[in-house]
Amino acid sequence: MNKNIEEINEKIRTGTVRVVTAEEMPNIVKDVGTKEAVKEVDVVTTGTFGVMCSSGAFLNFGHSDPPIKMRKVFLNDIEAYTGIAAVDVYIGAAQSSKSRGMEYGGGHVIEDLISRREIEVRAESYGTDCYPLKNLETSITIDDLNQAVMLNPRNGYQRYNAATNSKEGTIYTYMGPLFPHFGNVSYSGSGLLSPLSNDPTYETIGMGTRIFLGGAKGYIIGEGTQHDPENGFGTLMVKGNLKEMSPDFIRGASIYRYGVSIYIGLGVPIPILNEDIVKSTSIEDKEIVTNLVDYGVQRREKPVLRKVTYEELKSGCIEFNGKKIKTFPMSSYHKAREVAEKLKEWIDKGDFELSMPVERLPVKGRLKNMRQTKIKPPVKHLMAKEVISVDQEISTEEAAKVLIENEIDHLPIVSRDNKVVGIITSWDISKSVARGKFGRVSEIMTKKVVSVEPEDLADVAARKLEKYKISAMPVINKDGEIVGVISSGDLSKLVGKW
Amino acid sequence: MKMRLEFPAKIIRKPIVSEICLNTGVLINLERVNIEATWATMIVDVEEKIEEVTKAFEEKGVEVEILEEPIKRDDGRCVHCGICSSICAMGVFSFGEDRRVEMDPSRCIVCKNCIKLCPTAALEIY
Repeated sequence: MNKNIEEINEKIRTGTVRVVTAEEMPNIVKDVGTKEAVKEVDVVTTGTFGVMCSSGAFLNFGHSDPPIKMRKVFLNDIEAYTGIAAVDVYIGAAQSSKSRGMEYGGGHVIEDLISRREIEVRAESYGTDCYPLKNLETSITIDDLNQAVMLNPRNGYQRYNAATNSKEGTIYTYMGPLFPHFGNVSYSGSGLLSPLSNDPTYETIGMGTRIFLGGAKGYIIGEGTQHDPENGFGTLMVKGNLKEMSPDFIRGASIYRYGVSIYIGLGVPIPILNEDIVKSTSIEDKEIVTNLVDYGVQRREKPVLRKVTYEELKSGCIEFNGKKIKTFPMSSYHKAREVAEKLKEWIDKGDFELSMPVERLPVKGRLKNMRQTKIKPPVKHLMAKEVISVDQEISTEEAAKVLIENEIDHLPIVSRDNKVVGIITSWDISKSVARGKFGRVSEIMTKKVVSVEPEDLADVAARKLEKYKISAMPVINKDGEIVGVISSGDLSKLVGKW
Repeated sequence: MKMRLEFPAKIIRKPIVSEICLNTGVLINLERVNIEATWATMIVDVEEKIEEVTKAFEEKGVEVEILEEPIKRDDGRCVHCGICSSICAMGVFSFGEDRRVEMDPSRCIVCKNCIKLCPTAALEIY
């Protein structure tokens, strides 16, 4: 049996439609089978509620008197993009504040607009004959604007990588804090409730599909940026009327030591047209597989450590290398469920009709990497390869001599098997001289040694020196042996050259 | 019951906690201790004779604040993501019914790690 959208919409209008959420679907199909499910169910609602940086809104302020061609615009001190017409701007969710840094950003401005709070507007211009005003300060609420349109280039990821960290030291990422030595795993996405996972061939999803966006009706307007269908990482570009949205489903976010962003509630209704769609909407968490990726590797290509299902991720703990690792979500499953329930309620009440896409999302295509015409070399091409190191049993005086004779400031301390056990600097020696302490180097050395790998790129090394406020560090290969020393001096040689 | 104790400079070096343990016979669990040159604060957990212990501390010149709910959540801002559960070593946060993040404030030792981690600034420590 096949159905079409018009039949389903007629049922919505007459109040005879049967709507269920994607969470209920697996059991329905188990109970009655796919054939019967086509007859019984008309619409399956999905939902997701996660941090989606690729989001923002177009705002139109109307004209001031005298008029201004706004060239720089700040909304609550968050800069908006103005390379469009005189009083149009785009406020991006991930734009941080000049005065409040990562505490308040574009996502918070959008939340404040939706909550109908006053927004301080500051604009600058160069003045023209038709737009003479050069500076403007005012305050507005969303109701003062002509249009406020949310337009998100990339939302609704089909699934997302789960993240962990193999390295020393906690890293703070857009996937949250990742503790050293596989200390935890973070994940995002709602699994069986995820819109695109319920229709992975985009049979009913495409340009023109009416959706739930931030508590209001919205539309899919095409494939999202970085749409990667052949790898199962499809995305959506969506729009909706900001004026109708609700702060229950849009929330400004600050990801600790990463930056600002926004939580978006998004739900797609899937019309049950045939048995194939019944099958795809009955997907369960155990069937949705994603990659566990090592974010400790600060390169584009990050190692995939294993495949993992959303069932495992949601259980709170997964197994890796025979060890149990705690998982935590970045997105809210509670809220995702609320989205799917709300959408279901709208359809049940006859407030929301379904639309067939005018064009389906592309099912072909893969994500491309950036073409880079200049790439800075890896550390191994920049480091000092003649490593001068000493044994930990030597005295502070002997170490001082080695530093002076070789005109160096950093001296790695190694064990017999060439493993680095510490490092001392000329500063450490000065300190021990000042304190009148002249023992063995092992007593004054820094034992927690920050290091890089030979394949790490120059910028990764520079970031590490900056993060730990040091001027040089040993380069250590995969076997834990020291193969060089890289200093800020070595890295500064790149300036102007690359 | 958790308490925040503030010790003025002149009594920092005295073994006040031990003295009160001995005098009242109550076990005092030190959860966070901060002793500086001119001030000291402690978060302690006391399970019995709360009033008696409070009085004993106050008589020694220690300021006592009872922390009925050391951590508070603005339910209007919380989106129930669960990031807080990643950092909390005390198990204050857990997933409950309907995948809501449930809180057990009595387990909180006021380390404040969750405060900065919460993406929607929904948590507050008193």
